[in-house]
Amino acid sequence: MSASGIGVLAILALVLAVVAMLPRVEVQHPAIALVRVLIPSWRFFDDISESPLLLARVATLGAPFGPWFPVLPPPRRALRDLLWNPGGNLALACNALVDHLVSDLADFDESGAIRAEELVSYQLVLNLVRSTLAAMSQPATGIRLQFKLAERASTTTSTPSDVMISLEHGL
Amino acid sequence: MSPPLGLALRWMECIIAVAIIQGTLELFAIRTTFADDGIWRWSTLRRELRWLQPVLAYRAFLGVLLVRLLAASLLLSGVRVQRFPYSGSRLCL
Repeated sequence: MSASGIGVLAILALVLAVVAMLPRVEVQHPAIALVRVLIPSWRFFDDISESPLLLARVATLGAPFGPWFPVLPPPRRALRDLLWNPGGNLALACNALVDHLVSDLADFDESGAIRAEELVSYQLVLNLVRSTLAAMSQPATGIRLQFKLAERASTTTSTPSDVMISLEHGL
Repeated sequence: MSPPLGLALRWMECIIAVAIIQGTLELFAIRTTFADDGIWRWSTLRRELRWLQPVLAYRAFLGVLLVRLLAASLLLSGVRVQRFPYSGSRLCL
């Protein structure tokens, strides 16, 4: 490699090091949110927290709701997942969706400009619940559903606390 | 360009191409989640991404995946553009 090439790489490394040391700035603009997948982030673990549980329950017309059940069961793992794992990627995306809703709800509490059920992330989580119930072959006539986000129990004896409970929706 | 650097770049091309092909095939495998009755259905997403309808509506997105798969396959097969962008491009196999 030529001396000029090494120089360019050295300058690039220096710029990256300086940028990495800058204080983190949260950019909330929606246009930035759209392109965030194109912007690399090396701070993977600066805010370690567990994703909340997504629970749902269903009721037939006029009947009370049944018990809450988890919508996103932990994925089963196999050796071939190292090479081919669309289900695992989907589970990861669904968990990211739940995290996104939690983040939006925190911003929503501050702004209060729109109702929670108008959030796109709320609608996407509702789609997720509906898709899961459809995959479980729940009958589709007169079914009502409700979902909630709950913090995971810190011990086996404690019960999870609710983060939010949705309105009732049709299936 | 010295041969070792050219070889390294070619290996990087191949690794990136394989990763893109694998990722694209995985997206094809879960394409129902982007369908009109899926989780990421366009009727929900368009509120925030209306200007991306030409590429993110379900059928258009499948087309984007197909183009991505084709482009990565070409990269893996060694097709490259030479003399770009200086004096007219041409594809070489």
